[in-house]
Amino acid sequence: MDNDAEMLRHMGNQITDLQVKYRALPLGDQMLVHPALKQLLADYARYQAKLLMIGIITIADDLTEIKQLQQSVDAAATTMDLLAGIGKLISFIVVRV
Amino acid sequence: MKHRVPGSWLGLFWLGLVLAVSGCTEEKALALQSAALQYRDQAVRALGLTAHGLRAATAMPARTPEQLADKLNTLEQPLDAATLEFLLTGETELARTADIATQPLDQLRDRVIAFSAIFDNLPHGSYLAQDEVRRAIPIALRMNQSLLNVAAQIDAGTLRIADNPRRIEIIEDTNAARGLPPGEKRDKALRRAAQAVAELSAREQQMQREASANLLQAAEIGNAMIGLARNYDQVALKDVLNGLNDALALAGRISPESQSIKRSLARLQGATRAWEEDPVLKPLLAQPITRNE
Repeated sequence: MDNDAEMLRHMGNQITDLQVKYRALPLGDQMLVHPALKQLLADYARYQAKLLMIGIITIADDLTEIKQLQQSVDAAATTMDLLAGIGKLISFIVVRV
Repeated sequence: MKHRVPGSWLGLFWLGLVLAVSGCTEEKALALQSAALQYRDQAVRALGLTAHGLRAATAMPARTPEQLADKLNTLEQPLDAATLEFLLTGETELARTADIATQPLDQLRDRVIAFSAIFDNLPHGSYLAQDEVRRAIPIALRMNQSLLNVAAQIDAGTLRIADNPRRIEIIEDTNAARGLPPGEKRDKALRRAAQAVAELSAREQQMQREASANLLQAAEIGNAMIGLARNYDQVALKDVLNGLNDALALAGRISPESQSIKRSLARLQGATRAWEEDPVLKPLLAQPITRNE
């Protein structure tokens, strides 16, 4: 698997983990997190579209960084943690699209 | 479509001679038009399957009435309009973000549809139809390259097709099962989850391979069209029909299995490179494309 494919897999898995945590939230907290999750999904979609159109060369450092982000996704126990985890992933993706 | 009327009887004589020699018949044009329609339909289907897979990669499971009731139970205050609005539109808003990812596929689909329209007037055209056909070659080649690129990206994993709603359900079900006390109920739930994982693996492979196989089938028809367009003025109707039949037979042999996909992808990529080096096509490919591709 090349770096770009591995990057996409990490991003996809982290998004799935975040969605599972989002779905478990009480309704009021879901409303709070919804805009950030929507932003994350939109940025991921832009990343996938860019990869599809022109290709992106993912370097090894990028892979190291995305793997580190998984820790904050895993550790997200509260709504604020979840928002922070989504924010970190958005920050990671947005500079690459 | 250009219509040229010869200015003299001598011109008409030459036109008749050209038509007789070139075999530029209405039937031949109709055959090519039919191929363009098959190319369009197959490519639209293939790109639709691919877009569906891309959307599924970030989709979430639809909320069941029971889950909605549970959520309503978590409300700490009376239901208000804003919360109801969120319940009505929140999930759709999340799902719509995938439109951004499918934009390149949607644009390619639109180009394929526009390309097939080039051939709409061909059967009513003049003896210069061959010019019209040749001008379509660079467009067809570029579109075929795009279709093959999408298939290659699915194969490489840089176009992510996954059944994310099912992934989420499996994670939720498994974690719920792990929370049960040891016993038969827990064991059964975990066995169901294991079975679901195996089914998901097969399902996702099927989604990826169905999309790839359909893309390659479209590219196979496109490849045949390029060949026929290249030789349009030299071949007879019989050759056009045989060429198209051969292409459809080859396309039909591309199955949604890993080896078939890899072999077909390599063969069609090789065919595309060969067209790029073809001495007849090279000058055409070097010209800027003026049509809305």
